[in-house]
Amino acid sequence: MAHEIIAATNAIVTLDVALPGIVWGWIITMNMWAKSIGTGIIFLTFFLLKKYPKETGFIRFPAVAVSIVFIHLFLFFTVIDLHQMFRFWHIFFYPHLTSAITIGAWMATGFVGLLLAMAYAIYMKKDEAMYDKYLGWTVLLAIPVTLYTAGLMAESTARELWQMPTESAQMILAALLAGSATMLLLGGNKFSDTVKKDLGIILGLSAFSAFTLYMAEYIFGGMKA
Amino acid sequence: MQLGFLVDLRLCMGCKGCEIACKVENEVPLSTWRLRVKYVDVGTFPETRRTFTPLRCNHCANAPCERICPVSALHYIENGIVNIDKERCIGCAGCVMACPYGAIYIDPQTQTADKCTYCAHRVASSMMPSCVVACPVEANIFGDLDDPMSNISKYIQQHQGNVQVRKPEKGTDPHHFYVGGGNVTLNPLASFRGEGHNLFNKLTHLPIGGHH
Repeated sequence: MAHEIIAATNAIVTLDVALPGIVWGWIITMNMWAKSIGTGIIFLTFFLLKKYPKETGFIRFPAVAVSIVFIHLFLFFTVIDLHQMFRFWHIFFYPHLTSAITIGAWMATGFVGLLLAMAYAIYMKKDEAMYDKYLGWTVLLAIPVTLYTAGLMAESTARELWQMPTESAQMILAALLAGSATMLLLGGNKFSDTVKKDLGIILGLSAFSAFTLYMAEYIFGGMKA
Repeated sequence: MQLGFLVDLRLCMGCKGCEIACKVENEVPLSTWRLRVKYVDVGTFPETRRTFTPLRCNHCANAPCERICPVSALHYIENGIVNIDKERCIGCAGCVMACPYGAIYIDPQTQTADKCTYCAHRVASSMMPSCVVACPVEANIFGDLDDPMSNISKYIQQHQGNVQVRKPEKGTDPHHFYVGGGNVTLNPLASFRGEGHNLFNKLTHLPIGGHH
């Protein structure tokens, strides 16, 4: 739907390039930001509880609470981006399983269920073993929840820039970046310097890697397309 | 049955009757199109000519829009048409992002995706699509690709070597063909664009449907 003027002839050239404008705008950016925190903090909780089980045990409840809040923010942004948001239930009753949107919605629903189970285990039952058991499954499910957006981007074949390999790496890096930053804020000075250093390394490396990927895709993706 | 379209670009004279017929038949809102005639000026004044290319949904055999639709609002019907169920569509715009041909838009009135359906409602009543009826030079040829005796099959056979599709590299296997097409008409990147313009910036565009 794009057109422009050729100076030599002053005629309008109508192009059939697949860029009718930005269809997925700031809402989807917010969606991915919230999801990165929601799943990223689960990855980091798993890492800390495995590496520093005694020192970081206090993080169990705040981490799952933050994840629940942000994964619901993610779902909120997902729903309000729909032009027919009150038909969101169609995804569950008329699912089309080749669509990354459908897969993502189902995975995210399961993820929320496990988060609620984790919150129940640590807040109501005060059972750390039960929490840790659920956490293992939640981490497994957090991986496809993090990655499905890359699948969605890859299915968006009108957009030359978005490729599955780079987007997958990008999503995981974004989750690690956001998760480690949130964890640093959440733990504050309750964490030892060693824990903070580990989180800082994860944050720094994921930020650098994400920046490298973004710039490489931004500069060279355009040339290739 | 596999319905398909063929446009003989050597016949098209750019009257845009097909565009208007489509708009009227399908009540396509302002600022959106199901069928659009692209034109590109070739040459430098006074040696110039204008080419015309009607663009519509390609009804691909491997349709990215059908694949990405989370609720099967975009679906195949028995005659090969990629149809849309506007009552089921949730307006996620995934199909808009998936179609390499820019053939899908968000209807600003219904807030759902919409596109050319080869006039499936008319075809169901054994009528031709409205754009076919409106074309004064019979540049639009519509029919069953599976039937070797159909007009479209014969046309393709008669013009072997000169039948093309848009963006074959996308692997979508379009059921929409062009005869007499070329780089200027079918390759959106082939035409000269002003200084500083590329695929990703400085493009002006008409407003698209949808509330955001």
